[in-house]
Amino acid sequence: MSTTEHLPRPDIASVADTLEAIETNVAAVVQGKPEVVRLALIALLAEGHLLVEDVPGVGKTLLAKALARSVDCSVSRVQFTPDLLPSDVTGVTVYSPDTGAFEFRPGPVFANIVLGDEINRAGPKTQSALLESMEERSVTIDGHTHELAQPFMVIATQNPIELEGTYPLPEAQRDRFLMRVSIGYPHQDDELSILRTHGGADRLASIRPVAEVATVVDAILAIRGVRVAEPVERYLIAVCRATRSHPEVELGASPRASLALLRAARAAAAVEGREHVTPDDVKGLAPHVLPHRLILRPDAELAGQDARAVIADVLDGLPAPTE
Amino acid sequence: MHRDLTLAGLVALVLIATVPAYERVFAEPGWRAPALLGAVLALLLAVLVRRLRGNALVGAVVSLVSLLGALPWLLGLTGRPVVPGPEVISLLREMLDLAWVELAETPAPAPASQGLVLLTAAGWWGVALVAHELAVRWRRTGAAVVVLLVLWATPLAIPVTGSERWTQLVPFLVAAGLLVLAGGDQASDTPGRAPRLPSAGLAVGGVAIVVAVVAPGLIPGHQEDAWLSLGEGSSPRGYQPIVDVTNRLGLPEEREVLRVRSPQRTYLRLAGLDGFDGSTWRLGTADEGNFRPDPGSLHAATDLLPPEEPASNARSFDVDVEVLELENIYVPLPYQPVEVLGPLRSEMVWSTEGGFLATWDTVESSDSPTIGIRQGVEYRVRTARPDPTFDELTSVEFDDATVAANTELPREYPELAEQAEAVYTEAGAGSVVEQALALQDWFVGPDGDFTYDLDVPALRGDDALTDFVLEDRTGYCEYFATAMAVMLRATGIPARVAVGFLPGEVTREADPLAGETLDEYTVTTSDAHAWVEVLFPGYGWITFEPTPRSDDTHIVPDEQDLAPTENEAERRAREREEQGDELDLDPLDPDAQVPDVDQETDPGDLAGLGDGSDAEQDSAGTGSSRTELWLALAVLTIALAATVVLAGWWQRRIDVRASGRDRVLAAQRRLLRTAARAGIGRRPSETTVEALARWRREDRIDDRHARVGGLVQAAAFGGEVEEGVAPEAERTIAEAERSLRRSVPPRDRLLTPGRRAAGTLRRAGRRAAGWRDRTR
Repeated sequence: MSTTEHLPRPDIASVADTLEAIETNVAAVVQGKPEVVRLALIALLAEGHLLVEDVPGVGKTLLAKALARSVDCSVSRVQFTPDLLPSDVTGVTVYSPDTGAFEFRPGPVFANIVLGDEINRAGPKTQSALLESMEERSVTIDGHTHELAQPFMVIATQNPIELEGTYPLPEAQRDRFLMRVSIGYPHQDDELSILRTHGGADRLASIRPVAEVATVVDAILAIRGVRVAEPVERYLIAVCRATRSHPEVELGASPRASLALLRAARAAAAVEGREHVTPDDVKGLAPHVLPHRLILRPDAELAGQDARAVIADVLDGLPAPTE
Repeated sequence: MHRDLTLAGLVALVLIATVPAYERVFAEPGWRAPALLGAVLALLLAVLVRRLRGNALVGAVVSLVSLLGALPWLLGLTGRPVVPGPEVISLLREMLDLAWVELAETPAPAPASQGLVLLTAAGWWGVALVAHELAVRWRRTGAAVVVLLVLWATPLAIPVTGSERWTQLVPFLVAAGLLVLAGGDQASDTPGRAPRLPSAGLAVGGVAIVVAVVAPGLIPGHQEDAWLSLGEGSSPRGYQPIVDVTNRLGLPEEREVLRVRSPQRTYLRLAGLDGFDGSTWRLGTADEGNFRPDPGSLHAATDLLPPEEPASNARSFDVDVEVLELENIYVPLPYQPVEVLGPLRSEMVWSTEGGFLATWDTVESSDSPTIGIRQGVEYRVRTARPDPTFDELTSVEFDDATVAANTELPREYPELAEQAEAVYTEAGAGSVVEQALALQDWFVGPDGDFTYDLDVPALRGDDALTDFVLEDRTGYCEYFATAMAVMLRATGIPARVAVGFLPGEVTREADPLAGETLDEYTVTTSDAHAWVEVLFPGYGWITFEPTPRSDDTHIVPDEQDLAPTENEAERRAREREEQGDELDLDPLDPDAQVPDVDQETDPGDLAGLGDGSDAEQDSAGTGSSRTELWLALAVLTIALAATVVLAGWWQRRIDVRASGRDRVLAAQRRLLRTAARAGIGRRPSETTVEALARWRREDRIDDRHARVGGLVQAAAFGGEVEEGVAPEAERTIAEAERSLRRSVPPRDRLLTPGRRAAGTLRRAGRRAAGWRDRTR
């Protein structure tokens, strides 16, 4: 039994209450998708970013806004288009006639939650600008470095259907996202409920903040102390390593992927109010954290094989620890 | 890791403690090094494979390949372990064939012959491997002890005299007990309540008794009937003297067996073998399982011995025999005896069937031979050696009954019969005696081009004999005697194989002045021999010698003398001398004209150093009271049960101190094991929570049971469990366990072990197919 962190034991119990409140709040708006809501929360707590691949109109923006509003933090939205410039995202320094000096006008990236719609429509340069700031958590313009807000989370969407005139994210950059999820259409009953509840009114209007930004930042710090037992560590690494030797995979999960999975697992444990990570956390998150980081062999891809199936295969072939 | 090594070391200890039990199987210690080395090698390999994280299948394959490579080295055939190739495999297969024959025919204590040592070493290797896997890999020390117990109990069937029983029992018990105890604290399945160990102990004890009762019945070659007769095991085919001659290859050092004082050189015969089963000549008819002479043909040796066959022309003389180092039930003597003198004769029985004198208790209890021939025994035999003339034998008439009774063969040997006929025709032999001499001369003379060599494969298999006669033409006494006897029988001549000893070397010449009128011969293990006897009604069984021994110590009859007393070395020396005399024209040398053949005095010892290592090393277990064995078994069972109960008590003491976490984890282990036994076990990729959820979906457990997964995982991965929660969790898990067990129909539960084994096999097959596909 060992822990990787030796920070003071966080009070996960109290954090968990807050997290549960946020989750309930968001789920009340984004109906019928508790799993996606939870994943978004996990990404927020794990200081990660979310790549949502889905068709328009299933509630991507709603999810981002509901999350932002629940924790009473800022949210901005960028609609990516082919002519969007990097400065449109990061901000620009302009001459202010009033003060007679150059002043920095922050771009939409300076918000707690940034919703990047159809990120694949922008040119590579603009994409890179966003991805860099995601990784660095700061923006450098004209020699000045501007720290981004905390927490900072990008929820980027991609439309997997329309590919014409798009610049799909290169594989090397996809792993800047902690998770890739798809929301999917709601279940019939949920859709009916959505109609009835939000038929006319603004769904977001009903949301009240249930936590403060500071609480979320505390939670993020607290999560670093969630305990990971050695068998779980080994299991987690085994999962990542197994993707590298899988016959259908060209490029498997990197050590960065292992780290991402570990962070996500810790966050997931905290969301459930646990102070330790279980193999179930790893198993449950691997299908969201790992697939978009894999590059399949061309023949496997042609055969219609999909990275999620590879991960499922890997998980199915690895013995899970019981103690 | 440390624990693995401890358990492996204890398995090794139990194996070493098993050694005394096997002393009764073998008459000499040559088996120990191969068996122990093999077992230690197997353990080391198993430890290594486990260290390298190889699974049990890999371990088994590695071990098997290594065993094949190591066996030739263990048996001393090669200087070092070899890479197993086709040659090694075929060699081992050959030796295995030999081993089965030896197992069936060699009574204990047996010589450490290669076949038996092969079986022993392979057996020890296998047991070491299985015991290691059970004890170390699966932490089932109880099951490992059962396997080791099988190894230990197997030789129990052989009764022994003497009091070394404790050396066999105590070390094994102590070592096995240590192994059980060492396994005990790890298998803390049952903290806080009565452990399951006693029931495991009962199982061990039960298996021990079953093994001890059944094993002897399955293992042939033991002297006494087993308590429970299963199959052929308990009725060995009886003592077969030729087996010793056949299988005692390469005895490391020559030993003096007998000291004989005799007026002439004479073969010392043990018995005549009448039956041929296709590979071995044996006493009694070939298809007879266990040879029992007809009571009517047994005669007490206190009186004059009735002749086996009347011999109208015989030469009478006395022979004194002193046994130096030989244990046997058959009495070596010159054929055929008329009377035995000496105190031992009251224990001897003369059988006119097979013509042997044996040390049996009495005529009545003919099925309980005792080893009467042992070191220090002396006896005198008055012999009437058949000594007919050539003309007498030429005119002998054979009646159909005699021919039919002594020409039985298990099958036709057309090639051999053809070859024999060719030899007869070549020699112009018409009568039986001419034919027998012609065939003998073909074997020993230059015509047949036969070579004497001990280093040849065993004479086993349907074509072995034909190959020997027609192609290889290399072998030793058993080959020649068997071949000639079969060829004689195939051409309608009554013949059999006799076994015994060559006359040996003269170690002290007669010294009439000192009152010593007889030469003293010393017979060694390398004088063990087999030859042919042909029946001439009215004249008895006449000896023929088909073996061209390279040391020329054999005695070959010819037309002039059908019962010669000089061996080949002497005959050649004499002939050279005669030739030299003729050249020198020295009429003064009386030997040149009148060679003294009857009063043979062996000048200088011409008998070679004896590269023949055929030997006689036999003894039969003596009767021993079964009560004592039962007693030993009872003590063993009680001791094992006590050990197990003790282990349980110790276990409970540990459990009481066990932390909440350990108790919950132990409960989880029990739950998972129960599920696996019921055939609905956790799949390897499932976490405990997933498995519980699945059982819940399948309606095997209820929600409360399913929820306990969180607590179990908190214990496993969170590090601690509150002390107060543990008992409740334990109860819930135990309930889930019961609920799971109930949810599986008893029939399925019974079938589960078989299904699991089949599943393992299937998976192994799939994996093998995967490898094959990948290598393609």
